Amino acid sequence: MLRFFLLLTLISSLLFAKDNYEQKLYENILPKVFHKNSVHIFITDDETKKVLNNSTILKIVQECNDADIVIGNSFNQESANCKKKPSFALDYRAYKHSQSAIGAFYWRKGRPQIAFSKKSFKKYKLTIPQSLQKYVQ
Amino acid sequence: MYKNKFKLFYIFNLLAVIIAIMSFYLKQEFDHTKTNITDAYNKEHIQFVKEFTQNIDTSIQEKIHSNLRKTLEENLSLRNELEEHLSLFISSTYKYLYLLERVPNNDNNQFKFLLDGSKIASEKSDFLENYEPLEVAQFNRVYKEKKAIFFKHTDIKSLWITYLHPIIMNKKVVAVLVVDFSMKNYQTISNSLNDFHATFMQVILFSIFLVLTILWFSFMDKKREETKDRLFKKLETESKKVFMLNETLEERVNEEVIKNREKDKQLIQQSRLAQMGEMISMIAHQWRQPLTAISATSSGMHFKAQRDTLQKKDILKYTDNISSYAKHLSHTIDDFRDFFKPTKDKSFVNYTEIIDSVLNIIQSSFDEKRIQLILDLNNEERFNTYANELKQVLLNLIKNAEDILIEKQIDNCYVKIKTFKKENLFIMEVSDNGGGIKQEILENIFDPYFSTKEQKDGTGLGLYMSKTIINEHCEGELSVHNGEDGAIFTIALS
Repeated sequence: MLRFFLLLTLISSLLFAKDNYEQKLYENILPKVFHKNSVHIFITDDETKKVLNNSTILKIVQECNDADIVIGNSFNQESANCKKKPSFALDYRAYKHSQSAIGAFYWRKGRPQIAFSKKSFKKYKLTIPQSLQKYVQ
Repeated sequence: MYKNKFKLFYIFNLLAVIIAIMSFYLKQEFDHTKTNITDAYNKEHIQFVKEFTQNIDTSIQEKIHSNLRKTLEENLSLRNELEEHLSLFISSTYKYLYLLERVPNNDNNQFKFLLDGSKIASEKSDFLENYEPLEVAQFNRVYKEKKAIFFKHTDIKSLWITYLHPIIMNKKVVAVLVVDFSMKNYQTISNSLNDFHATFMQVILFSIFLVLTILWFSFMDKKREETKDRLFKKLETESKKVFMLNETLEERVNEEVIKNREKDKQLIQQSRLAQMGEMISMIAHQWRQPLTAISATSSGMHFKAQRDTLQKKDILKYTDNISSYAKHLSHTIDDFRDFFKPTKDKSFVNYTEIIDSVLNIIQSSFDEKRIQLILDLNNEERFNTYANELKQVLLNLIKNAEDILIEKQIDNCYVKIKTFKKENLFIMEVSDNGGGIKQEILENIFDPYFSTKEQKDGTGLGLYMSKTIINEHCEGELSVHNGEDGAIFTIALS
């Protein structure tokens, strides 16, 4: 009986599971940027928090101090600790105007876009992986 | 009525076929119309987009003659003016309208925004902002083929179409004007048509099912009608036969009656012949003793005459004796003649007289065969009946008993005759110790031609005639049952 319920739960979870492309994208980029298998992230955007909540590679932390990177747009309102950390913007304008944004993931004309800032990478002494070089602006 | 039904059946079948053909024709027409509507709508959209992109193209070409990017970079007011021009066409249907320039690099995947017609700040791209379209191959195709193309977005249920118009300067594609427009209305029409198509198909299928069902029922009804017709015809034939049979029935009954009478006559004839044989046998038996006596008397006379001792008184004595024996013989013949002569009228007799008369005939035979005759006579009352017929029946019963006793060689054999009166019936029982009649043939022994005797001895008519005489002629009852020692025949007369 227990086996049956376990199987039922597994099948249900597989059936209702959504392909989380956004999560895959972050999981693909961030470990390469930080050269770590597990990256600690602080998220300011609730929607993104929901998207990355189930990731095993990306660990959501409650304090900016514990994070490797901050994901979100409202950087100016965050604490001083947050401002020190490199960030990943969710909007092109935020990315352009942020001093800490090393990159961005945003939607433009209905299409997903990725951008990386060479200047910010240098600032935080990070290296852009070869496979992501084409997104550098 | 039946023919009318058949006519209706064929008319209905014809109608069903016509409906099926009509349905097929309507479906074809509908599919054709549907394609026409969607194509026309599509063409109309594309045509409109073609026209205004050409318009924008002309506008750009009029203001910028070479080095598009550089001109726009340097002339902000021109950029704003052109973007204003683009924004004129932005609506809920034509959502995005922008100009892209391909960044020359290895894979040709990168583009940069030159103009963007969006009015919403969050959606508006910056000048020279990087852009990587998902359908980059289509964009590169425009650069290669130098002509406008459009494609559907397969990932969002084809709700959106992107139109790519090349801006050509000096025979080179310098930028691509992109229009993303919604196909929602088209999709709504298409969906409605598809829904209608599905409903139409369901109706057609249901109609076909209905027609088939009715056809099946009609077929079954036709079959049933045919069976009914066949049965009616059969019934009619049978009725005619019965009618004919009824018509000839009386004639046939008469024929059968005549045949039965003939048969009865033959039976009576056979019975008479059998009785005659019996009578001759009995007469011969009765005559044996007097004839022996006559022979002995004549031998005595002959002996005395040879010895010359025959005297007159002897002659008289011998002739008297011979005469007496001759009278006895004559008397015997009279007895038999009276015995077998059918009585026309009933007379009052009792059983004792009947039994005495029969015993006169068979006593000597019984004595000779050493069959004991037991008489138990308990009633002397006279009753009105056909005496000779009754004697013949009694004689037949006694002779049957005699035959069975001789055939089975019974020791101390006997025939018992018992008379008595019970209520208003005069009863006579004739029984023997012959062992009785087998139970399985008991109810058949009064049937004509039924006999347990050897073929040469029995005709099978004795008991049948006896039963007929007692039951029908004398209006009494002749029955049989098995007693302890043998069969008991009972005559009951009123």
